Amino acid sequence: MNHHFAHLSSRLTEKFDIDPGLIRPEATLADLGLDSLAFVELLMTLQDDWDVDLDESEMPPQTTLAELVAAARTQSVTEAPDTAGT
Amino acid sequence: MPMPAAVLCGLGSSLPKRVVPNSRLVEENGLATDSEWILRRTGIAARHMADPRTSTGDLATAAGRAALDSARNLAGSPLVPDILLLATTTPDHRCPATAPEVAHRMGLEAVPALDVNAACAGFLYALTLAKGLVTAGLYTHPLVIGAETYTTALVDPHDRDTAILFGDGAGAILLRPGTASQPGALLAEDLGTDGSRTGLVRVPAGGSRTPFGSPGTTRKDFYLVMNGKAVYAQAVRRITASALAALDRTRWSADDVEAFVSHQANQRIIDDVAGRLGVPAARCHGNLRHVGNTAAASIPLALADAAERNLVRPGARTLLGGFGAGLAWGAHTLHFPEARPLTRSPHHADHQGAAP
Repeated sequence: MNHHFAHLSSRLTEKFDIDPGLIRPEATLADLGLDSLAFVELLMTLQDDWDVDLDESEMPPQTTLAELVAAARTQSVTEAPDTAGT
Repeated sequence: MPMPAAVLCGLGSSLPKRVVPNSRLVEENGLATDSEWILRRTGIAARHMADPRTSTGDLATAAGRAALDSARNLAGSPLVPDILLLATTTPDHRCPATAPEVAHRMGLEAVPALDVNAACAGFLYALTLAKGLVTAGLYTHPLVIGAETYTTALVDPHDRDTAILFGDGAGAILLRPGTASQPGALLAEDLGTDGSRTGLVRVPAGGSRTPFGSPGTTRKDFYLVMNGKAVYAQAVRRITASALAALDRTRWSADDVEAFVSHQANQRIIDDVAGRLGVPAARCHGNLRHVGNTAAASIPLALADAAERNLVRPGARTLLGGFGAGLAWGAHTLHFPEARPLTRSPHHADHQGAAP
């Protein structure tokens, strides 16, 4: 979880210019101010990064970051090491 | 004897006179949005819109004539097309094709002329077919036109999802036989379709599947409908993959690309594709902000715009990419042409009307 969340956080700040203070597990996609195309772009980025299939039609704007990470983790064949060490 | 290369030797365009900025589009159609949102969402600030009397054929004829003028200026003498391919999703009539009448209006009597429908990817499809005709030695001077009137023919002006995107216009190019090292030489291509995703962007009724008068149809069924988010994702992935395939066949890397001219659908798609390819923004050229998405006309219009503004040197390694309903997509590599683009206003004075 922490590895995935750390990666998601870095993508949100570096590629989508999201304020790091807004990035919390309970924050929703709507909270971050991502419009629908940015959300699709985020999902495509994560699909490429994690080699998973994330269906945007199953993720409404109320989806939290924790739920997004959980959806990706259920498809990961092998869990990446927790490089954050927590 | 080696096969000739197909060389782009004339470049023409035509846009309707009426320019509609976002603010007027919103106001006239009561759209639930504003100018800034449209610009942020799409990169489009304005578009040219045809009046109800201006048809796709009117725009195509004007752009075709401009391309021939451009080719004559470069060659020093007139070049006469021996086949005409018109890429369009918005023909003047459901039957017959528009290309024969365009050829007639241009004075090209008895030349073969056909419409090509691959929606927004149509120009790349027609270009590839024309290239094949030249390299095979079947024809020497194909005239390829992309022309559309989405705003009068396909788009519901009150549908925010589509009304903000589209504009009308036509772009045209003339090919001739030459060598692969010349400015304008077409090099390699990649085309593809995915008919399993036809429903992502289409006009639901009005064809043979659901003819006019079918029970249960409403007016909205005869307009373009689009799943914007799914189309966005497909467009980014398909154009990127197709571009990489065309680059590979040309033995170029993305670093070699000096100019990337994408189908002008949405600036965010273009930026995303360029980012994935690794083509810097300074090498991406387009006119989306001022003309919107002109479907099959967008790539030749963007090429003409870049040439007109001297943004790309003749001979520069150039990549084209496109995507549209179908789904259909494609990419093409070429050396940027040296032909100076010309433009003509659409007019219908010489239109004699269609006899049955």
